Amino acid sequence: MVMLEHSGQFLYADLVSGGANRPIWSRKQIEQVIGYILVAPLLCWMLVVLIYPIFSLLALSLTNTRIIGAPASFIAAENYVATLQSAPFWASVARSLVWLLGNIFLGTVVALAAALLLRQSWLLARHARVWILLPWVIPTVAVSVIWQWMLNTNYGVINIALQHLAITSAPLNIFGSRQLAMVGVIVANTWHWFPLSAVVMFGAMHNIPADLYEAAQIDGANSWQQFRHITLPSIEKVLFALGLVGGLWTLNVFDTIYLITRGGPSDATQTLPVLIYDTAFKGQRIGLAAAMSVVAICLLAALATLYARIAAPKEE
Amino acid sequence: MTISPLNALLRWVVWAALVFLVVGPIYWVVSASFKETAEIIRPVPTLWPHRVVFENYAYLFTSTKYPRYLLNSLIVAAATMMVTTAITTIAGYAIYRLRVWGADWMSRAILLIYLAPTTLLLVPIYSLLAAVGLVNTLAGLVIVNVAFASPFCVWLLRGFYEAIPISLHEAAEVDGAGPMTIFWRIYLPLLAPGIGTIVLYAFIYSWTEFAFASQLIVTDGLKTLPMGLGALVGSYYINWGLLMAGASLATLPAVLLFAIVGRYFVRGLTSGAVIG
Amino acid sequence: MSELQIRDVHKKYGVLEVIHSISLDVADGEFIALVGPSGCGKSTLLRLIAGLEEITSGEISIGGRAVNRLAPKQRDIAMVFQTYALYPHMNVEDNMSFSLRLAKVGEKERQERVGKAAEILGLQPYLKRYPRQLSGGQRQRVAMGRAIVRDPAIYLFDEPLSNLDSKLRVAMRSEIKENHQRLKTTTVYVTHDQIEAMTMADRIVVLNGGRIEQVGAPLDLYDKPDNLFVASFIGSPAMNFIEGTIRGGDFLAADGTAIPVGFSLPGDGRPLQLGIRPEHLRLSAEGIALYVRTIEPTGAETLIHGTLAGVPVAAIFRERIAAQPGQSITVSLDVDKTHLFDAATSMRI
Repeated sequence: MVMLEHSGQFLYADLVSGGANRPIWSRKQIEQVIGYILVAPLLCWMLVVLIYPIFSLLALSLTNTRIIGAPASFIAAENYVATLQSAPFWASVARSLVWLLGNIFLGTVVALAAALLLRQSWLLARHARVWILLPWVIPTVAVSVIWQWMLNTNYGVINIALQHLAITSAPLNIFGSRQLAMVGVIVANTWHWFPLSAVVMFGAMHNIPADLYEAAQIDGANSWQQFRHITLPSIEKVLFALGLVGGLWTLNVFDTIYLITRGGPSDATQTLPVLIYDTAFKGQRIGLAAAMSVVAICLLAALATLYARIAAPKEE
Repeated sequence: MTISPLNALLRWVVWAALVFLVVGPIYWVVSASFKETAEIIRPVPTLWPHRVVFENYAYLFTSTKYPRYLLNSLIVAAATMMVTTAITTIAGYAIYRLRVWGADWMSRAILLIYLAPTTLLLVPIYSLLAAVGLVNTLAGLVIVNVAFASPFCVWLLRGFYEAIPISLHEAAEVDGAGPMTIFWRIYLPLLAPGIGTIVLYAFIYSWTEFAFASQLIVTDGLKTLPMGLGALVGSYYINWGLLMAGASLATLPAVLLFAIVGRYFVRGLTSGAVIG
Repeated sequence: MSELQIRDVHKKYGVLEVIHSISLDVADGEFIALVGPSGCGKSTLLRLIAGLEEITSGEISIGGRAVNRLAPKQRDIAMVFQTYALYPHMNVEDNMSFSLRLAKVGEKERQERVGKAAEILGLQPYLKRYPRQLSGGQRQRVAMGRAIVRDPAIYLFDEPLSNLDSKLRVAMRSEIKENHQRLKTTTVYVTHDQIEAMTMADRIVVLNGGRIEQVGAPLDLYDKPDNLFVASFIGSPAMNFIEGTIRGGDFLAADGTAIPVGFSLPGDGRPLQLGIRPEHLRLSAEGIALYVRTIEPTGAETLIHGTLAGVPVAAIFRERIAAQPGQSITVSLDVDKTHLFDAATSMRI
């Protein structure tokens, strides 16, 4: 204790005189330094693998690169002109919008219904909150096998059921039809992704205080009125965020479509990511694909801004 | 509240529909994988395998490269999972607890990045990896997967970090622990559910990733499951039994992991801190 | 030797100054309570002493050693948090010995010190339990145990009893006081509960708006509050105040009532506030009318809320009172227990 006291005095003297033992960094400064060391790996990773490519995307889009690594020359905005004048490009923009709206509509309805069920408090509901995520856990390639099989023309259980119920007379060749193929991939993708939205919606509903509903019941509100005036307003923010995040992720989906239809039949399900992929690697026009990516990113940003303007919940 | 018989019936019907929607398609394919080919393609399908056979699985393991794909997928997913977990957990500590200067800004930037259109970056990332010779390597795949899985993981971790009272941090500081000691001895043990969550997300992300894997990998022996199985789908003659066995088996590791940490993942998603 | 000195300490968050030049000396072994309304800076001051926040200017020294730039762990302090802050993943024993393990204290000594603290606090049966298996009072004891094993220069308490129910709070109050009498360690105790401060502390520091209003022994603050703030903050029910001026030997209230106070102050006519505690009003046959609004008999005493000289007042009587709400009774003031404050400066006269 005496020793400790002495060293304390010594330290104090050093502090005042600025001697060798003076702590150069305060606790906060040490925390900052350690903190930066800890975020550094993540930030570097993001910088190299995500931020840098955005710039090299811009650079590539100004060249006539056909294959990565092959010599190419600067062609200024030619790729952009080609992109903007390309009918297939705008056709795939339109298909992307159909894809987006179909998924958002179907996904939101199914997820909201599921979330309302998950909110019940009995045993099955509590287990379902976890197990509902199964379709999301399954790898996309398995999802593609599942739905190709379910919707198969000859052996698919859905076609067989439709015929037995006399809804259709002949089997539907869903992935072989220009109109139905899009419906098919939307169904498969919704099945894959709705559980995630359902769980997030359930989480938002779960945080609504129960006494709100009790008060509403005492005020005489029926189930629909409770849903309309308590549940919906309470999850408004989450629905908005889900719309934004889910929308951007949906537009970005490549694997589900490519694994099921390869963008076909012909180009019926060729959304933007599929078109860009095909242009870059099948058509071997990397420069053009880069320009398409840049234009697509601009369109996405515009769409997201528009959505935020229109749909953002009002702040009180 | 009392429930009328009609409501009770309705409730069961609705629940049956949900269970059917979630489990039905999975059951249909898994059960078919145990059927003989003749039974699979019968005009009137059978609800369960009348004769349980393992020939589809046997064929998968003896006559295709499936085991190789499975192994590659496991390697890539395990590496992605470990690296992602490590870098996002420590980054989360710096951003959400040490509050480094610019933490709010970083947090927002990461949110923005996780909205980024990943497939649209396929071209430049491919050329970046080509420049450093990582095309056609599993390591290149891991690097890409970590980059894309990390932003969402950091975002998920936020809720878990914020659920730990700051007073625990301060108490440990008063008790004599430095920032790293506090991380190891206070945060890590309490963060276990959060780590379970990001382990699952990173694994699933990598396990299911197709777009980059299909372009970055050329050599057959380096392909991962999504490509390997995808190739079987696209082949001229579709052997459905084989395909369904492959799909069922591809699902298994993800489901097993989910069974262990799934409830933490749900807790992370529903904590309310993720969105809003 | 573990006295605490605070010299001209300021704390700013950006442009917002929350602590304005506070200086305070705490003697070795003293028990000091920091009280004040919420937002007065009492918790901030405690956190500055702990080193959880950095001071903007000034100096804090513990045992004669300036600690301004030292981390909490280098300050030789222990802290008990409002929420206890027990590590949920460690059992009671590990919670208590965590600091010792960090300081690389040998296992034998660790067990000895934890054992001793557990004995003092009656925690021996619970050493292997986890915090979630303990009651509120037991958790509170573990938090104290964690401080005791450290044998620090100073204990810091941040509203440690505010999460307990009232019965347990009274019990823990005397337990903390008993421990202090046994260990004689310098203690700084933050509370918003003035009863806690009155009953436990050697001296009380009343804070308001980041400034010290008054420092003194509990009864000194009660009997001789320096200003209106302290007068109204200390004591429950609070002191009554009547506006007015001195006219002759009487206090002339704003509504014209003359109140005999027995002062012989120069009646310069400046506005004053007359303070009188509820228990210093007495029933008397002749005096000032007290219009009764409500009566709250507690058995031992009777609390009356009413109006006197046009202002709402509270009065406590040992007698039982038969009056009904709506009636008036007559009271007189205990003349040597009245307080006079300058209404303009709010300082005591």
